[in-house]
Amino acid sequence: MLLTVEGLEVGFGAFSPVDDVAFSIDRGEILGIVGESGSGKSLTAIAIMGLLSRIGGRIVAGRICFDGIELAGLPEAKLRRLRGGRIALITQNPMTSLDGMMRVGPQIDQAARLHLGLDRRAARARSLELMADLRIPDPARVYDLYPHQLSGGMKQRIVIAMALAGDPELLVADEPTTALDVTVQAQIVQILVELVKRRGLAMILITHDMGVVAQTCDRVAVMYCGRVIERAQVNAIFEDPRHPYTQALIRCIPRRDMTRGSMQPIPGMVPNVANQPAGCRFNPRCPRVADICHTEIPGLRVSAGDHGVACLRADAA
Amino acid sequence: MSDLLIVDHLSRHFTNTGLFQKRQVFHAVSDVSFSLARGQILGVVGESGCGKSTLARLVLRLIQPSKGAVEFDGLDMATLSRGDLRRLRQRMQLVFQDPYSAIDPRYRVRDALLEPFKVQGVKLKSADATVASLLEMVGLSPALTHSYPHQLSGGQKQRVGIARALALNPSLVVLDEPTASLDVSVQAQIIALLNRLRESLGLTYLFISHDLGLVRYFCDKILVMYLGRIVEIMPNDAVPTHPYTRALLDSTFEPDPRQRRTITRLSGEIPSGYNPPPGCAFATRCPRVSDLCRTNLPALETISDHHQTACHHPLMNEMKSEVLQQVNTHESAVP
Repeated sequence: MLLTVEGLEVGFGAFSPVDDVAFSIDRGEILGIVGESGSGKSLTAIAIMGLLSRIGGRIVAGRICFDGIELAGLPEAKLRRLRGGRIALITQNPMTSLDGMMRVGPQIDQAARLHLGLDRRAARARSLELMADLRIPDPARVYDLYPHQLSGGMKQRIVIAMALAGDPELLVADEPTTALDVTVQAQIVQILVELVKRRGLAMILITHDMGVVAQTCDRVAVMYCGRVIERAQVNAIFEDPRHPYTQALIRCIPRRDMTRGSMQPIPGMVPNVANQPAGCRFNPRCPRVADICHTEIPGLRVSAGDHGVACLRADAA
Repeated sequence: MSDLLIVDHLSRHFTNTGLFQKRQVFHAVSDVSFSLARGQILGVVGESGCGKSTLARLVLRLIQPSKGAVEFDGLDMATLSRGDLRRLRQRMQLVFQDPYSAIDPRYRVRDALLEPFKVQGVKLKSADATVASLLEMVGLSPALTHSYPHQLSGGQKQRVGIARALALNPSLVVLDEPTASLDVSVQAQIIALLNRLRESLGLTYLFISHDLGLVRYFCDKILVMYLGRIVEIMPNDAVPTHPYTRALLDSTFEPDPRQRRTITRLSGEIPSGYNPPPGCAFATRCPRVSDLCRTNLPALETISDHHQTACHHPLMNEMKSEVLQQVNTHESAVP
């Protein structure tokens, strides 16, 4: 496995918005991390990137092991060599990654010059190649444009080119297509999938969109209130979901064959991080809730086919 | 069924007059006509900048059209005096996309819900009873009566937005991307609520969205816009004939890993509304483009009952079966 996360707990002051998170990913694989706002999926990405200290958080417990290197507690200098190099991040809003005052081409060059030690000319040639690879029309012209001269989809391609410039092995993509129109989203998703398969990268795709997950991922981890509540192959998640939350989540997405009124919303709402229920965090909304759910925190139990479920009543249905 | 809303050749352009800029005309909505029957839900779909939000504001006459007319319940809105128009607004309401900015942060829920009555000068027998019944109608706890917007979740705020829109008992509600900023489970709750309210109150909805999957689920009729123009109007269960609608449908990710499909890649850029092409606006990206499309604007033509398309080369009968097949077969895009 290229990356293994075990028992990860992220703390902010007295709160732990991410708790006991575990998953792994290998080269050539796409792992989807799905969840709604506040599920801790983005914080998990930030923890992997070693950027928690920048937003006032810390790793309280657990391991993040990347190709034999323990990232939790790694000194900043060593993290910096990995970040943008062997591990790259693609953010939701391209303007988080782009400098609005700088032409886009040289921004792609930076990672290659820093991490691969290329000179300016070699870095430029490499950037142009990457841009052509991402189907950016007329790369030599676009190279000299500023971000504001590009459309949203084009900006996101530049961000992907920046991420690829340092020749990464692991891509962490945090909602990479959420801000884009559907036709553009479809193009970007397809580009990302092709990259992973062709270059043998590993990609962690963080999203709230079950449609994107179904169309791209090999394996999926579903998060709720800071915990992984189910983890399985993508087909198993959609055809044999075992956690009541995963089952409910799938039922509230409109599908082509549904008629009006057949969508079943989940009652209630996601609890606040400062006010989590005791026991299983889904218990106030769960149709299968029992007494034990209020006292015991379910751990992820993994059964045949590497299908893990964190539910005390998974066999009750 | 009679038509509640008739929109006739509606256009709106904006003139850009910057100090050092050349005078430019932006065509936001061009020659849009449709009708909406009482009790129906019409979905308006399109990508950013296609003019769908401008259309919503034109229908409510929050902005004036450059050309064309809007008829609401038999009344031509252009002929109404300001006072009449304000009174008419009781019957047509808007729910905004962003519940965070739609409610004044200094208003408590109660104040937000009573604001429409104040604006319209409607006297209430009991303000408390009105607030309580509005909260109940949208499934909010009476405990939230004195809360401020920042104390509410996104879903709760959107429920307040809906309650406020329904306060004056409207006939038409324009919903401008009401669930775009919400999580899927909250979106499902809001859509279920809107459906229930429509049935119990006999409402008519104009539902604006970028999500064709959601529109197909929720609406009776779908209107697809591209660069300010209607490219297709069809019943929700019809097979699209316009290549753009088809591309939108292909780009919608089905939540089913067994139905992975190769996406028809649209190349080319969307033309600018400042300088719309003389022919079909989709010609720069269309896989079925011909020379005719680049020079001649296709008119919206009826191809079957309630189904109109604006295309020189629509995907017709023989193509339809192929489309259906592609929609239904399980081609694997990713090995």
